[in-house]
Amino acid sequence: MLKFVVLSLLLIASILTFLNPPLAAVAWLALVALGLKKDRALTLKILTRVANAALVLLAVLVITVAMFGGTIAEIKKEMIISEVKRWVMSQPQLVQKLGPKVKEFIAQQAERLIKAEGLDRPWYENLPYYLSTVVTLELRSQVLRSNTGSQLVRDITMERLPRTVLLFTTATIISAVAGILLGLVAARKRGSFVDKFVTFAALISASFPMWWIGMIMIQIFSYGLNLFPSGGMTSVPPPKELLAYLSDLLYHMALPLTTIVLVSFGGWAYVTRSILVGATKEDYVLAAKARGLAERVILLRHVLRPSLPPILTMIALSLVASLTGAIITEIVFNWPGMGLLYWEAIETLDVPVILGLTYVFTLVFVIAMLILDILYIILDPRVRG
Amino acid sequence: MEVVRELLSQRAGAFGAALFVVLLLLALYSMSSLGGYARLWHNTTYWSVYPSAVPPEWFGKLLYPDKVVPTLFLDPTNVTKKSLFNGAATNVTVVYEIPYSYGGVPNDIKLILNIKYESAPGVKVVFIRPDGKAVTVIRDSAKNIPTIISFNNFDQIKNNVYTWSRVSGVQPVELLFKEGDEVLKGTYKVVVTIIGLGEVDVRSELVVDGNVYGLMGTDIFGRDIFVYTMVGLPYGLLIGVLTSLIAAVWGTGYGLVSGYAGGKVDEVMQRILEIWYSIPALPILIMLAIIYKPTLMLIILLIAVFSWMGAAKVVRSMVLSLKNEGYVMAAKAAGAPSTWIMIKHVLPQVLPYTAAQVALGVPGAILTEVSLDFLGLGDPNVPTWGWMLHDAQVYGASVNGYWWWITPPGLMVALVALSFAMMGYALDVVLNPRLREV
Repeated sequence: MLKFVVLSLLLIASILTFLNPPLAAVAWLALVALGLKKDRALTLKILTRVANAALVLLAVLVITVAMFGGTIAEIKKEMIISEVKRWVMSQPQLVQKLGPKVKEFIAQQAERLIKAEGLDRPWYENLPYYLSTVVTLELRSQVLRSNTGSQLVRDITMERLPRTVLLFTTATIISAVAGILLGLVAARKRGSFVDKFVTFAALISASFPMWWIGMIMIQIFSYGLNLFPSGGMTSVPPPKELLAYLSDLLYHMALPLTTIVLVSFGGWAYVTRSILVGATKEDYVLAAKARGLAERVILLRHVLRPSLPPILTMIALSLVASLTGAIITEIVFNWPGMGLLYWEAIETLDVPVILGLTYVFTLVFVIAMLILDILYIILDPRVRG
Repeated sequence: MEVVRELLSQRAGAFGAALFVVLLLLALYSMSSLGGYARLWHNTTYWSVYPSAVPPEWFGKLLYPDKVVPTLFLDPTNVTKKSLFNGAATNVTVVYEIPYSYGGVPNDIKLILNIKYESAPGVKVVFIRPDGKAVTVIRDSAKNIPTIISFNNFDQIKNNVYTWSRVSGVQPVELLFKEGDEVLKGTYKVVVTIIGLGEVDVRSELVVDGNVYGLMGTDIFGRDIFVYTMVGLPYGLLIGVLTSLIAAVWGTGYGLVSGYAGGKVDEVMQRILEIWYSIPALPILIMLAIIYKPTLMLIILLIAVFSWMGAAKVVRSMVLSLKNEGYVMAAKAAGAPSTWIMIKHVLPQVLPYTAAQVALGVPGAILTEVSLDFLGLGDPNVPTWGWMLHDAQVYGASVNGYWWWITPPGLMVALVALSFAMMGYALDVVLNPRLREV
C-alpha cells in the first residue's frame, strides 16, 4: 500500500515537473516528507544521490563554460571581425562614404557585436549569466534557428528531440525486446546454435562502428539496390496527407532503424544471457534443484526474479540515453535529430546551442544514472545496507 | 602465465590471440615496407598519376573480364635529341608506344613532362591510333602546359579531340580509343615534339590509367587503398592498445589506492569517479578536439582520460576483498608499509584483471578515435582508417558506389576491435569462474 502511494506520488511529481514546476515542487516536498517519516535511511540515501547528480551537472557546466571562455571566445571574435569586414566590403557605397575611416568603422562594429555577445568579459564573469540561462534553456542561439524561426535554444532542441526519440528510442525498444528474448533462449539452451549466435552478435556489436554499418547499408540498399532513400527524415517537400506522410516517414526510417537494431541487439542478448547464467550459478538455485522443484518454477522464481532488477535498470538507462541519439549515425543518415544539431552547432561555433546541448546531454545522462541508482536502492535490498 | 594458458584454452581467446598475431605481423610488414607512404598521405601530386576511384583488379576481372584495363607505366621507346643551327636551338622527340590489347577504355592517360629550358619551347603532342589516324592534341608553348597532363581534364586536349571527332560530352580518352562502339586494339603511339631556343632538357613518363587497380582499388585522389589500409594498421593497433593501457594502468592505480585506503579517501575518490562517469564523453571529446586541435598522442591521452573508470571500479572491488586476506593481514601485522603491501601483495593479484580491462578497452578506444577522425577532428598528419572514412564520406563514396573505399578501413577497425574483444571476453571468463560453462 505504502509502496503504491510513493510510486504514484513519484509519477505525479515527475509529470508535474514538466507541466507546472511550482506545483511539482510541492509534490516533491511531500514525497520527501513522507519518505523521511517512513524510511529515513533510504530517503536520505536517495537525497544524497540527487544532490550528487546536481553537483555533477554543475561541475560539467562550469567546465564547459570555462572552456568556451578562453579559446572559443578568441575564435568567435576573429569570426565576428572577418564577418563584419565582409559585410562592409560588400557595400561599395558604404566604403566610399567612409573613405579612410573604413578600418575604424569595422573595428567599432566588431567591438559592438563582441560586447553584445559578452565575449569581452572573462569567462567567470559570464558564468552566472550562462548558468541561469542554460538551466532553463532560455539562451538565444547565434546562428542556428528552429524551423519556425525561433532563436531560443529550448525551441530548437524541442523541435529536434521528438525526431531523435522517434528513431533512437524506437530502435532501443526493438533491440531490447529482441535481444532480451534471444538472451533468454540462449541462457536456457546453453551451447545451442542460438547461444553461439548471441555471442557472435555481441562481438559484432562491440567491434563495428554503428555509423560504418550505416554507410555500408546506404551503399547496398539505397545506391546498389535503390530500395530506400539514402538519408533525411521525409521527402522534400513532405507529403501533405497524414497517411502518406506517415508512410513516407517509415520509408525513410527503415534503413537507419535496421542499422541501429542490427548493431545493438547482440549486446542486449549477451548481457541478458550473462545475467541469467550468473543467476543459475547461485547457491539458492542449487538448493531449489536439490529440493526437487520443477524446472519451470526454478526458472521463474529463482532465476528470472533476481535477474529482473539489473535488466530493468538496463532498459531504463538505455531508454533515457537514447534521447541524445548518436552524433555520427545521424550525420551519416542525415537524420535531423539532436546528434546532427550538436554537429551543426559545433561547425558554426554556435556557443549557446553547444552549451545548451551539452547541458541536455549531461542532464539526460545524469538522470539515467540517477534512475539506475534509485531503482537499485529500491529493488535490491542488499544495496540498502 | 597460467592465465595465458587458460586464455588460449578458451576458443574465443585462442581465436582472438591468433587474429592479434596475424594483425601484428601485418603491422610489422606495413611498417617495414610501406612506412614511407605515411608521408605521402597528403601528397596529391604523387598520387595524381594513378587512376582515380577505380575498383580492385579482381573485382573487374569478376564483373567485366574482357573490359579490364590495367594501369601501365611506360618509359619512352625512343628519344631523339637534335641540335639545330649549331646549338642555337634544340629539337627533342619522344615517342611512346602503347601495346593495347584490352577490351575496355582506359580511365585516363597522363603525360608527365618535365622540361628544362632557357626560353619556353614549343610543344606538340600527337596521338596516333592503330588505324593510323593521328590527332594533334597539344600545340602550345611549354609555359602553358602543366607538368602532369591529364588527357581527360586538360582543356586544350579536350577541345582538340572534340574538334577532331566532332563529338563532345564524352571523355576525350574514350573518343581516342574507340571507333564507333569498338575499342581499337594494336599499338597506339604518343609522339611529343619539343623545339626551343638554346638547350632543352626533357624528362617524361606516360601513364595509362586502368579501370581497375591493385588489390583494393584507389580513392578519388588515386591513393592506393590497400597501401593506406595497411599503413593505418600500426596506427590503429597503437591507438587502441596505448589508449586502453594508459586508461587501465591509471584505473588500476586509482582503484588500488581507493580500495586500500578506505574511509574518507575512498569516499572522495568514489565521488570523483561518479562525476567522471556522468560526463558524456563523445560530445566533450569533440569540443576538446575542436578547441585544441590535438596531435595523435594528445588524442590518445584525451580518450584515456574518459575511459579509465571501468578498470578503477573492478580493481577497487577486488582490493576490498583482498584486503582481508590472511597474507595481507600478516604483512600488516609484521609492520610492512602500506605502499609495500599494495605493490608486493595486492597488485600482483589484481594485474590479470588489469590485463582483461586493457583488452576489453581496446575496441572502445579505437572506435572513439575513428569517430573523431571521421568527423575531421583527429590529427591530420596521421593516415588512419578514420581519415580514410572521413574522405570517403566527404567525397561521396556512398553516393558514387565506391564500396572498395568504404569497406576495407571499416573492416580493419572491426578486426582489431574483434581480436581484443575476444581476448578480453576469454580473460573475463577465465577470471570470473561464474561465467564459465559447466
